Amino acid sequence: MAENKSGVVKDVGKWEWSELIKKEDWWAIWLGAFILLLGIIFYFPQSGNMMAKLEKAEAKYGTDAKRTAAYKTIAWYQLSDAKKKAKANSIGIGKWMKKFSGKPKKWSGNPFNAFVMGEEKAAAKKAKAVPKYEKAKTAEKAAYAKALTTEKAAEAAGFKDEKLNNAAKASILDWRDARLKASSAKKKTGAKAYNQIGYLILLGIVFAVFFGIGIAAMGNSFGDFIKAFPFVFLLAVLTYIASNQATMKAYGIGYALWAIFFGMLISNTVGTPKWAMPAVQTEYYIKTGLVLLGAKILFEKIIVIGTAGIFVAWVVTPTVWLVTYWFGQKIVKMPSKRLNATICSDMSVCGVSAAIATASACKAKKEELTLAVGLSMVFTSVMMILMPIVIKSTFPVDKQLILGGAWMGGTIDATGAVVAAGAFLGEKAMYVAATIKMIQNVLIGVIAFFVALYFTTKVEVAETGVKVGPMEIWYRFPKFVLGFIGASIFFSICYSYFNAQIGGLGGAMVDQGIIKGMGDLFRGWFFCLSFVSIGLATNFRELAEHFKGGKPLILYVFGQSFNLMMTLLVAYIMFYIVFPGLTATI
Amino acid sequence: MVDQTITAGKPKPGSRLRAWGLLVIGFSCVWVFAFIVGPWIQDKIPTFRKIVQVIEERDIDAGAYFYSENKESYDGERYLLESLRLGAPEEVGFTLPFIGSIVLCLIILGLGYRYLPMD
Repeated sequence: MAENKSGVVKDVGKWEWSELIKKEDWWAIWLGAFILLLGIIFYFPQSGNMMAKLEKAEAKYGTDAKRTAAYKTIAWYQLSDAKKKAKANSIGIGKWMKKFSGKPKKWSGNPFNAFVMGEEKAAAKKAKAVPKYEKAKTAEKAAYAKALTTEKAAEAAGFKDEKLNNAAKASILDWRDARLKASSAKKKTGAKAYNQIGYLILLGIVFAVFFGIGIAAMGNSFGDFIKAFPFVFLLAVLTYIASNQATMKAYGIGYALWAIFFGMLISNTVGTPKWAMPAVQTEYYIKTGLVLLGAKILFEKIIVIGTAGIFVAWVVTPTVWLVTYWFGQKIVKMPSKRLNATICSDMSVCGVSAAIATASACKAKKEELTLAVGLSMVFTSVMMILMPIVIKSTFPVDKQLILGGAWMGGTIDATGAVVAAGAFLGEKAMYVAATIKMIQNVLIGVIAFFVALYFTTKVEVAETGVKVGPMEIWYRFPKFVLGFIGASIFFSICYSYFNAQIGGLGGAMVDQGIIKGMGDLFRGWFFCLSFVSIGLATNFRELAEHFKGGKPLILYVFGQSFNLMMTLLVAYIMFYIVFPGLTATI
Repeated sequence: MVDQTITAGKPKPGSRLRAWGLLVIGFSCVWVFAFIVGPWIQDKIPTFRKIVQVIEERDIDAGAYFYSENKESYDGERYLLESLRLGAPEEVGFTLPFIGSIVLCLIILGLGYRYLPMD
C-alpha cells in the first residue's frame, strides 16, 4: 500500500470554467438535462388536465372506495383503474416521441417483423384475437355481476358479517382476475400495422448530431464521429432485434448482454474497423444515460410498502454490499477494488443499472463492468426459474405470496425477471416483489454517491499515496454523479409537489410524463450504445485476465448466498413479527 | 470508467476467412439458441414453461432492468400504497420507524466508509 511520507495535503487539480464545455462529464449533464427540459416543456403544462381527470375519478369513486376498511371494495379498484388512465404523455407529442424513439418490436419466427408488419398480417392477428377477447369480456362481466351481488349483501350487513365480507372479497378477487385476462386479451386485438424503418433512420441521424455536438466541443472531429456512428447505431439496432426475439425475452436476456456479445464477436473475429472507432464512446453514452436515470430515482416511492419494505430494501442491501466487499478484499483477495464494488452493487442492489452507476462512479474498467453484467444476467435467469420452485415447494401456503414476493424482489437482480417470477406465484407476490425491487432501484443514487465519495477520498488517495484537499477531491469527483443526483432531487421534489395537489398527480406527470414520455425513451438506447462500444473495444484475453481463478464468480456466489439468507430472515421478521398489521393490509 | 488504450482485435495476416467464419459461427450459435436449444430447455423444465406462459399472456418484459420499464411496477406501487392508506393509514409516509430505517441505512454506509479494508 502506498504511503504518504510527508503527510502534506496536496491540491494539484485546478478548476477551469472551460471544463464545462470541454469535459465529457459536463457534456453528459448538458445533454441529459436538455432531454429532461424538453420533457418539462412538453408535459408539465398538462398538469391542469391531469388534475381534472384525477378529481373526476375521486368524485365518482372516492367516497365509495373508503366505505369500509374490512376489504377493498369494487369502488376501491375502480378508483385505482380510473386514476391509472391519467397520463401526461397521452398527448400528441408524447405519442409521436414514442414512435420516433421506438425500438425494434417483439418477434418470434421472422426477424423482419421486428421492423415491419403489414395491414394484412395485423388484420389476421386482430381476427385471431377478437374471439378470445369476446370470451374473456363475457367472463369479466359475469364475474363483475357476481362481485356486485356479494358486495351488496356484505353492505346490507353493515360490513360486520365476516362470512359475507369474505365472500365479497373472494368474488371481487375473481372479478379482478377475469378483468386482467380480458385486458390482456383486449390488448392483442389492438394489433396495428407498423413500419419502424423510417423512424430508426431518423433516430440514428438525430443521435449522431446530438452526441456529435459534444464530441466537437471536446476537441474531436465531428465529421469522423458522424461517419463512424451508423456502425455503432446499427449494432445497437441488432442488439434490440436479438433481445426482442420471443425465446430471448422469455429467458430475461436483455439488451446489455447482447450488445456486449455482438460487439465482442466483431472485435475478436474480423476486428472493429478503424473508421468506426471515433463513435466507440463508452463513457460518453453511459454518463448521459445515467443523468436520465437520475430522473427516475424518486425518493417518495420508498414509502410505498411502509417500514417493512424500506427495512428489507435499504438496510439489508447496504449490509450485504459491505459484507460482500469486505469478503472480496480480505478472503477472496480480489485484485481490483473497482471490480469488487461493481459486483457488490449488481448483486445486492439491482443488477445492470446498479453496475453501470457504480462502475462509472468508481471509474472501473469496461472489462470489469462487462464481467459484472455477465455474472448478473446468468444468475438472474437461473434465479427467475429456481426461486418460484423453491417458494412453492417449501414455504407455507400463507407465506408464499408476501414473504416469497419480498424474498424474490430483494434478491433477483433485474426488475423484469422479478416481475415474471412474481407473476408466476400470484398477483400479490408480483406487486410485493416489484415494489421491493423499485425501492432498491431508488437506493442506486445513495450507493453511487457513497462509492464515488469512497473511491475519490480513500481508494485513490491510497493508490497515489498523496493526501488530497477539498479542491482535489472536487476535481477528481465524477461530475456526472452531480447530474444524476441533481435530476433525482429535482424530479423527486416535483413528484412530491404534484402528489400534494392530489394523489396520483405525481405519477401522471413525472412517471407517465417525464420518465415514460422522455427519459426512458432514450436512456435504453444510450446504455445500449455504450454496451456496444464496450464490446467493440474489448479483447477476450483482457476479459479473461479479470476472471483469473474464478474470483469474481466466488465473490458473486458468496454475496448472493448471504443476500438470500439475510433478505429472507429480515423479510420474515419485518412482515410477520414487527409489522403484521401492515402485512394484513396487502 | 477508465478507457484503456482501445485495441480492436485484429485477425492475423492470411486468416481473414477464418475470422469471417468465426463471426458467422457466432451468429449461428445465437440462432441455434433462439430456435432450438432455448425452446428445448423451456419444454424440459415444467416450471419454466409455466413462467414463459405467464410472460407471454401478460406481455411482461422479463428483460427489463429498471422498475419504470414494467407497467406491473406501477400497478404494484398503486395497489400497495392505497392498501396501506386504507388498512393502516398510520403506517403511511415518513413515520419515526421509517425515518429510523433510512438513518440506519446511512449509518451502515458511514461505518463502511470508515472501516472498509483498504488492502
